[in-house]
Amino acid sequence: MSAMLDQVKGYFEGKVDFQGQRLADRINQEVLVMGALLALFVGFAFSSLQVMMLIFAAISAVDFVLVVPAWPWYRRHQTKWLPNIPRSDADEAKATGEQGKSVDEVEKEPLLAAAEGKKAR
Amino acid sequence: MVLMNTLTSRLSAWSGLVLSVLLFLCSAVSFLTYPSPSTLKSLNPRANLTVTSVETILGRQRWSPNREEQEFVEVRFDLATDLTGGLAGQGGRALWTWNTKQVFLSLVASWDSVDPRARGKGGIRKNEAVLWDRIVQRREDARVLISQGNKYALREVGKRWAGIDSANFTLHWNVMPHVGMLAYGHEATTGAIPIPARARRVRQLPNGETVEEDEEVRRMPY
Repeated sequence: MSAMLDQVKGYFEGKVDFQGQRLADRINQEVLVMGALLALFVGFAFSSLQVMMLIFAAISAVDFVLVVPAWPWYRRHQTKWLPNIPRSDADEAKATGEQGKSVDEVEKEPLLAAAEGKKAR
Repeated sequence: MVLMNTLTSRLSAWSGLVLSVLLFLCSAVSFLTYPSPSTLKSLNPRANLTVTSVETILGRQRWSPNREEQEFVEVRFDLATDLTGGLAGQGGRALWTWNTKQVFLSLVASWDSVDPRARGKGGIRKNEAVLWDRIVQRREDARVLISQGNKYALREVGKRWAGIDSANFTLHWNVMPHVGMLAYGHEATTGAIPIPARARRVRQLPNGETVEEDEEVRRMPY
């Protein structure tokens, strides 16, 4: 039950990846600006404000359909996350509690040791 | 770049851009269709405005809270003009564009009167009153060919027209677009038309004297 709800929530959130966001932004801007210019020219040609507004409304609706839903072409380049290094809770508690350090200080220890090792050499 | 990660942020970005672009479209249209300076400043040489008769009458208004006895000026005029624009390139007036919603025509009487409170302007106050108007919503209705009297009352602040010599009559137009700024201009004007004194009845008394009397106070149609 909760898995289905999560799926529904996923649809409503409509998350896309970073390349997809750039693509969506570009499509949005170009379609609307070109659509506005087209509407202006056609409205001028037909001497009708109504024609201009109708064309712009139609193009805006098309742009809505192209940009707003989370289409598959916005999810082609998923971000590749690095694998998680598992650390047990007991290890973490021992390292922080006994010596009064924070989690960040404990995580930096291997890096500091590597830096000192290089300096010594 | 605008944030586009979720459905709602894409919806927000889309609607924001639609409104901004719509604003650009409307301002472009209003810039393109605003009347040119030559249309705004010039009179139409082919318009005809003549005042055929002017009469001063003592009367009482019917449809106004102010029911005092006062002098009204009744003006009959002839107006012949064509404001449909025709072909703008051939010297016609480009009042009607694809952005014109309606044109308001008004015939305005303007006169000077003595006002001790108008100290900054040498004691002269400028008055303007609308005699006749027409709201033109279709281009064809902008052909005006009328010969009639004033539609609205022409009254003076001081309730008497004795101190005023003459008045000028001009036809003003006002273009109201669908989007954009209002534009005002004049079409035709007459010179100074004299305003006569009120006609008084002369009655002869039995002993031979003549007495000047006011005519009956008329009930005005406005």
